Amino acid sequence: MKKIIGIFSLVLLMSSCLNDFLEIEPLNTVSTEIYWKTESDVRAALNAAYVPLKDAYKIGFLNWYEARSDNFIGSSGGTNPYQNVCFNKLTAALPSCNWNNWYKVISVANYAIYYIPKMDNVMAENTRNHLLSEAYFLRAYAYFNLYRIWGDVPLVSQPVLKKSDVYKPEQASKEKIMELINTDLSLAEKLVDDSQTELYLYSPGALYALCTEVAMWNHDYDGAIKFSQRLYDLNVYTLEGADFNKVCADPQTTDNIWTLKWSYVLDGANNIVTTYVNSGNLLIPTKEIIEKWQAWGGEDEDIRLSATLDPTKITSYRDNHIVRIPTGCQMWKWSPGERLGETSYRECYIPIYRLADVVLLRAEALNRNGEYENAISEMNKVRIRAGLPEKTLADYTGEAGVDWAKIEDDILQERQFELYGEGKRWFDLMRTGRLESVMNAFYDGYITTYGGQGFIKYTEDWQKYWPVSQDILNENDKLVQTGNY
Amino acid sequence: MIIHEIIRPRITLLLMFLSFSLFLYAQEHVVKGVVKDNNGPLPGVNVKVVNGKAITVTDIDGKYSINVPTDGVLNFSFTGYTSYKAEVKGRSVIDVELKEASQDLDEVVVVGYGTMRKRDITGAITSVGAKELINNAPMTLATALQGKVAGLEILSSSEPGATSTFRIRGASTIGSEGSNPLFIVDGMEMDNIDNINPRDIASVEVLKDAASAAIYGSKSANGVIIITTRQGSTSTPQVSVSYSLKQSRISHKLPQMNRQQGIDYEILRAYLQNSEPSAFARDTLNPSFTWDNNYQDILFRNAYTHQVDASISGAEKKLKYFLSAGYLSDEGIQLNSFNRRITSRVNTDYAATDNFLVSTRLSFATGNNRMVPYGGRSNILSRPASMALILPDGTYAPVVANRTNPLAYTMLCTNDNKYYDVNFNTFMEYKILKDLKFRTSIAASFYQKNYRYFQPAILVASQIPSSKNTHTTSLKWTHEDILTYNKTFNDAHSFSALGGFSIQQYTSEYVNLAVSDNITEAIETSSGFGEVDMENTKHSWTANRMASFFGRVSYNYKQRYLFNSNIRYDGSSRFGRANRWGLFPSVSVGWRFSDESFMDWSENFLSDAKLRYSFGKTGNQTAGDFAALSQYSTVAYVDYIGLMPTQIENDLLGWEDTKQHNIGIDLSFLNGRINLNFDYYKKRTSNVLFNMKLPGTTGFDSSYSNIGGVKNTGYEFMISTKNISTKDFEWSTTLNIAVNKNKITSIPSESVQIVNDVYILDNGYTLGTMYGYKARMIFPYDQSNAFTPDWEQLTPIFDEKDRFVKYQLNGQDYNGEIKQLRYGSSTGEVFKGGDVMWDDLNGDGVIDEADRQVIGCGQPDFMGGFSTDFRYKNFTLSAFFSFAIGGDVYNNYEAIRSDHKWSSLTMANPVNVANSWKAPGDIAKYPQPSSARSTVDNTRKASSLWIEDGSYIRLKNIKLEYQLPEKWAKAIKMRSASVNLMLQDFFTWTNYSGFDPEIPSSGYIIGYDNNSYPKAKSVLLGVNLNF
Repeated sequence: MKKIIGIFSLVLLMSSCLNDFLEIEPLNTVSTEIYWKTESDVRAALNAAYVPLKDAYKIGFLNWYEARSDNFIGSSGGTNPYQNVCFNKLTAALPSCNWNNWYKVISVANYAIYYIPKMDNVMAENTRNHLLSEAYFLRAYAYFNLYRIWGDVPLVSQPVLKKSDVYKPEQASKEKIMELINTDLSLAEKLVDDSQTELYLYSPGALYALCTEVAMWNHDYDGAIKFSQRLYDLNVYTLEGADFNKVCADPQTTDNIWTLKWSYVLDGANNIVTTYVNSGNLLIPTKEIIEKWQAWGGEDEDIRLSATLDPTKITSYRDNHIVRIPTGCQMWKWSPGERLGETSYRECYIPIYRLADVVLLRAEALNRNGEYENAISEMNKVRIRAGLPEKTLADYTGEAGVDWAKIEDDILQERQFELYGEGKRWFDLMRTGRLESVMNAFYDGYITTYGGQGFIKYTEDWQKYWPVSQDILNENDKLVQTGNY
Repeated sequence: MIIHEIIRPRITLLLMFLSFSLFLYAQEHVVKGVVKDNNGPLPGVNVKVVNGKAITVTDIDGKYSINVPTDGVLNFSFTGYTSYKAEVKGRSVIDVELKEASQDLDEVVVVGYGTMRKRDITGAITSVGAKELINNAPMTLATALQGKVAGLEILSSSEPGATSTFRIRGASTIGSEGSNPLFIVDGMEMDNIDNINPRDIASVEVLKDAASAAIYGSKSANGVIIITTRQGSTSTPQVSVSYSLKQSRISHKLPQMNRQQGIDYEILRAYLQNSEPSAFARDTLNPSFTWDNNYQDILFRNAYTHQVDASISGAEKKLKYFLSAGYLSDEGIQLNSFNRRITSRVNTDYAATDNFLVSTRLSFATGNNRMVPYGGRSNILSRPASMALILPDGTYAPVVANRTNPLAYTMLCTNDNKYYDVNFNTFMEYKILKDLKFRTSIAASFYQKNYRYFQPAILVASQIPSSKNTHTTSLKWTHEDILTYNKTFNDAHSFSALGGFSIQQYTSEYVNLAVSDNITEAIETSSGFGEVDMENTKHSWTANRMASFFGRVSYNYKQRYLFNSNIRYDGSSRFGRANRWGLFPSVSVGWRFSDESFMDWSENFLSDAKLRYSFGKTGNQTAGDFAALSQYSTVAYVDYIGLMPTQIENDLLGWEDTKQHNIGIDLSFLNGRINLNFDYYKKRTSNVLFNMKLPGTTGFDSSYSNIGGVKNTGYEFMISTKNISTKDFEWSTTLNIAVNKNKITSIPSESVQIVNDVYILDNGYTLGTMYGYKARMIFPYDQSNAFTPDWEQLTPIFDEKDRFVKYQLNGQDYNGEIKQLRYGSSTGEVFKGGDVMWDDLNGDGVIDEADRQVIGCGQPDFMGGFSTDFRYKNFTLSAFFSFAIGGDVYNNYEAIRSDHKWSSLTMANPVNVANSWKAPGDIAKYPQPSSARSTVDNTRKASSLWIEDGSYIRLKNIKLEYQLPEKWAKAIKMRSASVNLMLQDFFTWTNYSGFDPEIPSSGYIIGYDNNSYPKAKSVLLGVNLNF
């Protein structure tokens, strides 16, 4: 018996010594204990956020930002039939119903917001603050998109560090999400270092552009004017000399504030750009917009038209073109001057913020605040580059005084042309409350005229939002499906 | 030699005469003789006087001489043979022919950390000997073992160098990698057994139940396969040389469209969707579209495989040795694919003193394996036959309309794996006391694989060449110390005990260079880089360690009552500190009831009977190496390299465990002429290491957790008989059958999923269950989609001009409410004639995801092998069949090319198109082959249309061998020589329409035919020479 006890105690003794033998650390991946020590650690951690951001764009950009609007009509074929998106026939099976990539961005930001304040004296105060502001910015940007795409979404603002931190959150109300966005942006704005410049990553310009856009969503026109002014005060961006032909194809102009970049080697062909430029029959510009655009400049030609679309293709839009999508109706914006250029096999860019975007938002805000003259002069900055004559207050002044609504119509029309394909139109409609009227008119008018059938008109508020992917509902039983999807 | 032979008998005669005269009146005299088996003299046979002390061993020529009392009895015994007793009765020459025992119970079987007599086994162990292993001239262990062990399923492909799937008693876990058995080669754990030359193997033992496997503890939940390599045994060196030449070709070609069929197909589609055929179909002048290729004829060939092996073995007083070398040049049936391999082995045992033994096992293998790249096979059935392969100037045609050129891929793409595999195991054994032995060993296995990939510009649409170089180096070392004690008391109580300790480390390092846009195609490697693929150019390193204590106690009383117990205590670096150590005990008992006195009546026919029961717990640790730690991994956003949290900390992660009961019976009749084994088992796996999905809001995709369970039950049956056994004619047969049923017993609800759109992973389902829509028929008319409110189908009636008149139900006119099936939603499209009538499971009139149901299962109901061997004089005819009955195959290959939807450049199966709906009224097997007639998804979803019965019986090989008569062999200074002719995989009886129903599986994806490699059938000519 003693012997047996002896053997067992020997085994136990040895096994506790062997525990050291059984500790091994990975070499080329990092565990938390040895991470979050230096400035470059933080830089690397924040860089990671742009990968899921890019993935989110890859999955959803066209569906969320463009295909639902009156900019495009889509084909009924393929794994993601754009026609269904265009006709407001959304189902929870579409890949763009999945929000996980946004939460990956949020997770990276949550880690940074948790760890950066714990890192003492390893970097200069302003560097640390600027990095922290980037984390707040990224989280705000991700939630701003979740808010606009799905409305009520889970609110996760703490990092998930251990298995025991995993929980299944319920959806928080839109208002709660907006609260977090506002808090994050105001923190970011206090911490940001105005002297930094970046194009493919976070920059003060990107922050102020986001702040302006969020303020416009909240109809906080003073805020929008304030933040766009801070953007102007950076003295980095200007439309003068910024070639419109390059804003998407080679977006390093003074117009470009924040751009996502794709490399062919790393990411393969960019599906957004290939859909726009190469396929030419999955998602094509409406005949309506080409006609409207051709008429827009009056006698002067809007140089943006031929830089954005192929206007010669209008002849191939037959009377049933909504049912039978014509082929070869490419967009030129991403490959100016070369039809069917080798866009799939080189670097591609999606501009997220451009100065022209902020200028027009500022014009809208000024207009709403009654500063019509300033509003028009902001709008003219964009028109001048487009080769269009400047507008004056007189153009909008009638017997009943200044027609502010007409100014806004024109600003929004400028936005539609200027930012065509860049993911702004749908949310402009939503933000300005014009969604029902514009889209229903689009369905009853244009779509019906050319034989389109089966669209679902906008009558309920929930229809603006996207369904939640069935996979996500399966993962978390506390979530509910959007509206009546 | 000839002279020697003539002189020898004379001397013997002389000696005989002398002894006769000298000991004429003596009690003892010398007996001499030769011991043989049916192949010739047997060296090393024990010759012993019964109830006496004298013992001798036969020499190299099988001769012996021994002093025996004139009325004594001699016992001849030799491992692997039935012992024979001869009464002397005054004779002085006794020649004996020993009979090989197919299942001799005194045979020694290798078990974990030791050996045991087959008699004493209480677990479920199947042993396969060398002769049986090389019977079919195998290139790998997988082909050698296939179908030979009940309950061991091996699925392999004909592709040179492809790894096979091994499953012992089904899949015990739902993890994808966790169901592979543990391989132990000469006591050393090995991950890769592809490079072991089957001719170097002396025996393979398959440990199936928990009690046998539990001494390997945490890695043994899926069973253990113990491989023992050969060792010298005779004092004169024995040299063996063998050579075989094999011709292989594709065993079964699939129908594919020729040029004209392609044009007809396009015209049919255009007609159905009311449009014009695409330009390509009408264009008869464009040289790019005027070919008529049969890709299978172009890409597959008669392939020749050469295999040469040589070995030498021997045993001196202090030294035993075995050396071998082998060369294999295995050509794939597809052009430009091969595996060329050199293997070599040195096994030595040196007895330094009587108590001290030093041994080494050293093996080396290297080779180059060129596999067919994906692009060389992916579209060979669907690419239009009319598309050019070679341009008029003799160069390969580039990608046209996104259709890659399979011939160019096959010929130009470099896809090479060079490998170096070195294993050594050195051990020392020291006899401390007579019964107490200490063994210590150090074993290491080194594996290096250099992968080279180069894709010239012409192969891809982007016209950007790219190359990849991957070097993987891994090293595993194990140190073990083992004490064994063996003792038999009073000739009745045998007792043995074993205690051991082992530590192990595995490291693997991986360097990958990936570049594109190479400056010149003359430089195929990454050094000619134009641009670097940042995300894939990287280094990675992984490691794990284990420490273990183990022990065994076994006891038996007169070999009648047997008891065995194993225990293992394992620590693994993979788990959190809290759950790092796991205890794996087992116990087994056996009862040889044939030795009981109440069984005396059966003595005449029942030679041996044993009942066994075992129970044990085994483990599994197949999670990632650092699965319990929080981890960040590099990701690249263009030029900005980031670190992303990719794994969440989980310090509670611990062992997956499997508890298994096994009950078995072994019966041996008529002195081993009939042997029966039967085993029943029940295996329950819990705390499955499952990569569980996490809510996306965490920012993580998944994390390993101990969650979920799987249950396997089954039985195995094996019978081997020697039907006829005479001097000139022998006939024996063996049959094994295994049945395994499994079921997922628990899985977290968030991990319930349908993998690959077909395989459901949910509670209560068998692994490999296929899930999808069930086709009931093809609607012949638009009007056929009409039902009563109770979903009874109505029959449309047409007039003589095919105009619809009315509906009928059971021959009566029907005027009630009519319901129609719709697609997707209650406002969705109404199914038309030519569409599939799906089974509306919930009867809501809408075909949607809720109507998916079980449509098949990849696991066979039963499987096994059957072999039969005839020998007439020097000719042997043997045949070996393997079968798997009742499993389904999901023919994704067919599903993809029958898609009919997206492109006129995807050719369908001409046979399926012939059986498709084309005009109203057609009673068809497949839906209409167009997309625009209706937009309901007829073919692009997982459905019963693509489920086929994967049952098969295959004549794996049939072999005719001629053994040179001993005399003639002697004449040319040989021990033996034989030639054989064999047909391999030549006949398969199956209803499966694809290349082959035997499809290597991974995890729960069982029977998924996706671009599988065609099966080869071969003719083989072999020569074996022994000196």
